[in-house]
Amino acid sequence: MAVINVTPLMDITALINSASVNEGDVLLLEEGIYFQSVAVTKNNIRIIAKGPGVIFDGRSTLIDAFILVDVSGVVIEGINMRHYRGNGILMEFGIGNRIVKNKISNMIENGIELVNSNSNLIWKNEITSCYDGILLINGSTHNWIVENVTKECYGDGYEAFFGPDSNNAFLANTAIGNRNNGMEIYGSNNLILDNLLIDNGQGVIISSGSNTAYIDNTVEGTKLGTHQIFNGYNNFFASENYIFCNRREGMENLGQLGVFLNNEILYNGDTGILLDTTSSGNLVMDNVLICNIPQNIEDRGINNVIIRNIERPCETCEAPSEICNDFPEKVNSMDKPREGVN
Amino acid sequence: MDIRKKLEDEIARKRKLIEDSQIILEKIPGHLRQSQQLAIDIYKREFGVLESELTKLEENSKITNV
Repeated sequence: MAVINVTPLMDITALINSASVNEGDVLLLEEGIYFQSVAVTKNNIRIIAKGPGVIFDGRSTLIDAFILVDVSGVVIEGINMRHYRGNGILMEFGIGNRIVKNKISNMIENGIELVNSNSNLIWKNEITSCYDGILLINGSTHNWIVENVTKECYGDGYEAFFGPDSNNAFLANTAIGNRNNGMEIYGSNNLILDNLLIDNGQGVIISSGSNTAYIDNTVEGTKLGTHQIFNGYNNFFASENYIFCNRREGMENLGQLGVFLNNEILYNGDTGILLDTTSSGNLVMDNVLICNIPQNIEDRGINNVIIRNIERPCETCEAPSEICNDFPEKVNSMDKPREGVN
Repeated sequence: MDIRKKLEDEIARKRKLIEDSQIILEKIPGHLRQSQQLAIDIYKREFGVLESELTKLEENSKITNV
């Protein structure tokens, strides 16, 4: 295994393709501005920034900064990428690659796009002003999306595009101020845990599949829908989420046989939990709902079970808009009730 | 979002990306073109999959409506 020093003047794609780079080698990138697109077509190559000043700049001309095709075990770590016409990192048919601590901004397409790729780790990347922050598409499964930050993207913070994009984990990520959804997660058996979604156009969309678990997430300040589960989605599980100060419903469920357990839904500008006309067989239990307008829970569906929830209506002259204007101090300082009616 | 519209939007975006990329490819220095072409090829494959998903959806919808 060799460590190869790389400067901005070297053609990294040609270097990787040459006989002087073998699996397991480390390409250590000197600081500087690189005007190139790197195609990685060899397994287990580690491309590592030597310091914080490694910058790939596409000058609004090049398409993608890094293109990984049919490779496994590749590491891309610590690199700044900006101003490409496509993606920061585009991966197709990738398995077990590690995309770590990169800073990606101002892509016309996405920060990171995985196309038909599996079992990759996308960890601690910061993505700003792209289309989607991180997009999984065309059957990308079993990927771990962990502790990333997406900010001010034109589309979604995180998107699993379609039904085949299943069995992925989204853990401890942050989405702030994205124009569309904080998370748009299609597919089955995805785990969405401990994420923070603030001031996005919409909060979370769940569609096209079954069995996704949504636990311990915080959603605040969305402008359109907060959390929508689409008709036909079965066995969605939402628990211990903290949903407050959103402009519309706290949770809008059109799906079937879901479980909504122990969530705290406070001061939203529309109904706290809305079980819409297509919803059926859902269990809504042990949730805390405070001052959602016009009501905390509304059931328009069929055979939904609503038990043991703690509800408190708005007090006289109390309104979510006033409470939330003073957030976070006011909401955080309130004692949340643990016992109550219903 | 309606699944059909979602697919149509993404197909339109990918089509524009491919068209724009092919135009700009001619302005890129020769030694950088190979990797750009690789990216365009990926987008084309992605585009093809999305189109076939849309076709499937439309066929299913026709069957449902009959």
